[in-house]
Amino acid sequence: MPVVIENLNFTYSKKSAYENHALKDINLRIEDGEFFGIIGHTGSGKTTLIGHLNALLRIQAGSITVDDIVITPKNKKKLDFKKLRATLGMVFQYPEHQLFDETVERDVSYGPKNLKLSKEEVAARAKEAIEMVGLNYEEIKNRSPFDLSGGQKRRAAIAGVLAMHPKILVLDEPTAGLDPRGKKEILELISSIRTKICPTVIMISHNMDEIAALADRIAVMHEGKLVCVKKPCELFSETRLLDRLNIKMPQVTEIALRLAKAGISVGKGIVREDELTAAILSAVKGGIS
Amino acid sequence: MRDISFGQYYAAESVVHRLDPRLKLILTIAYMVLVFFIQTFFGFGILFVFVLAVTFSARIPPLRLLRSLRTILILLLFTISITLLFYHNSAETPIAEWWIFSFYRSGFINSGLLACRLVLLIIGPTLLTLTTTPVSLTDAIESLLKPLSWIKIPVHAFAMIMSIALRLIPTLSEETHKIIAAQKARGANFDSRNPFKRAKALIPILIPLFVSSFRRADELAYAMDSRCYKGAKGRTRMKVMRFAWRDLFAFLVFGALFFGILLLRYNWWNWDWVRLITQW
Repeated sequence: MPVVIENLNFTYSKKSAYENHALKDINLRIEDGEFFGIIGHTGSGKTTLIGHLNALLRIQAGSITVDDIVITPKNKKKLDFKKLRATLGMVFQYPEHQLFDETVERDVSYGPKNLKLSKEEVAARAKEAIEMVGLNYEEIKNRSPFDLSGGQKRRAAIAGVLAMHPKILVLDEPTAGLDPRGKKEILELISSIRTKICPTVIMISHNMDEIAALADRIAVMHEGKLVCVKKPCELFSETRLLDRLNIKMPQVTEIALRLAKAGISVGKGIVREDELTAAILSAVKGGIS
Repeated sequence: MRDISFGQYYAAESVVHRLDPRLKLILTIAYMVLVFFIQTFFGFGILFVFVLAVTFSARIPPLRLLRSLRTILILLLFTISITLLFYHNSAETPIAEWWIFSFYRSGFINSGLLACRLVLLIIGPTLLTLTTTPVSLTDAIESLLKPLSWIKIPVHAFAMIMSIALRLIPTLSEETHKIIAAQKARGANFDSRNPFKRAKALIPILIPLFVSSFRRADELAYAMDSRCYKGAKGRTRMKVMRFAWRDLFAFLVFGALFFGILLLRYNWWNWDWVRLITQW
């Protein structure tokens, strides 16, 4: 079942001096198996939007359907929160800040334990999740999560969410603060999570290269409004829109544009490295022959 | 973004806001001492007028002031009813009786006086915190405690600790919200009725919070070190507190009030009009 958001509105600190209309009439449909990207500047409402998806923020107006769970202002108190939060796994910014237990294994087990699963099931899920994120289970299970390296901590934290077996995974800037290699590894991890256990992924990112290369569709948020939802190749060829919202292009697209200006025609809508390589190769070959 | 207003400082442009925080602090302490010298409704009346005058010249909505009384409402009701029910002079006869209770004239008077005293005691410091930012209060405390540094008490260090703590309150509260959200997303349940379970549910919040506080403290220490922070020696201030004419004026007004209240109480020169007022 897809994620459907209808007429979602949200205001922080209603009726006070700090009132802030953070979401304005959001309508959105995210299909099963889709890699959905969300971009926008700080304060544009991205985090507020995803906070609604598993009812961390109390819904004020509109409705959200996640899998077969419907969230509306009327039923917000009677929801099956556990089921919702198990269905929709959420990895926040700097997820390693949520680590707390004595060993990695126990920390990863926290989610499944909260779901009141049997002991064997919890242990099995923890092992599976730790291996899924590419950590060595036997070596790492009894170590303190605080002894791990930065990249390992983040993997362990993501494992903590995966152990709940979500059908939809939401990631808020999963690569923030990592070195280039750590970034690449996390992105590869997300791709393998998609193919193995959780095909639907929603990801917020400030890094246009990442999101252009991975996302099927991208939603652009601006000042609490949903500006548009487009495929990466369409979105990043709309130079004027990007200029207006002050959004950078992926490096690849930038290079393609400059090449085009320099007279080497590589075609439009290039957002991924392999696309650019192929386009340059064919352009050069065409030039030679 | 969540609102991170902290404390109860009420931002406004007024003489009271601009007064030297050291003076305000001293006057508030003197004010609280003064409250205990008053034993007549007339005296409390004068103080109420004074408080109202300060409130209006500070441009604080009176409702804000009343809100601060909410915290002592239960204490207030409790003291009033206890005094009303049980206080009386031995020679007194009750003026009213109801069920097993008898009410006395002195009980009414005393509970009224007590209520006035409690309310005025709360209002004074509230006016101080409404018109002074926590940071300038810390500066004022540091400046007033400076003599202690002569006997090797690290006043500056204490003040620095306090201002850092104040600065970090909104940051840590934001951090706490984030951690709570993250653990809720992993199915944490903070609404259990069992107190032990509730306490246990706090562990996944407190430990990450401690870890991040230590990390933040380390980072801050490095940042201060790299900017050559060496404690109080040779440090200058961004905001230098200077006594101004308005401070002298405020001091004189309050001094007159202080003197007047004490005069009403002790009547050193046995003036007839003072006796008349206090008897009335």
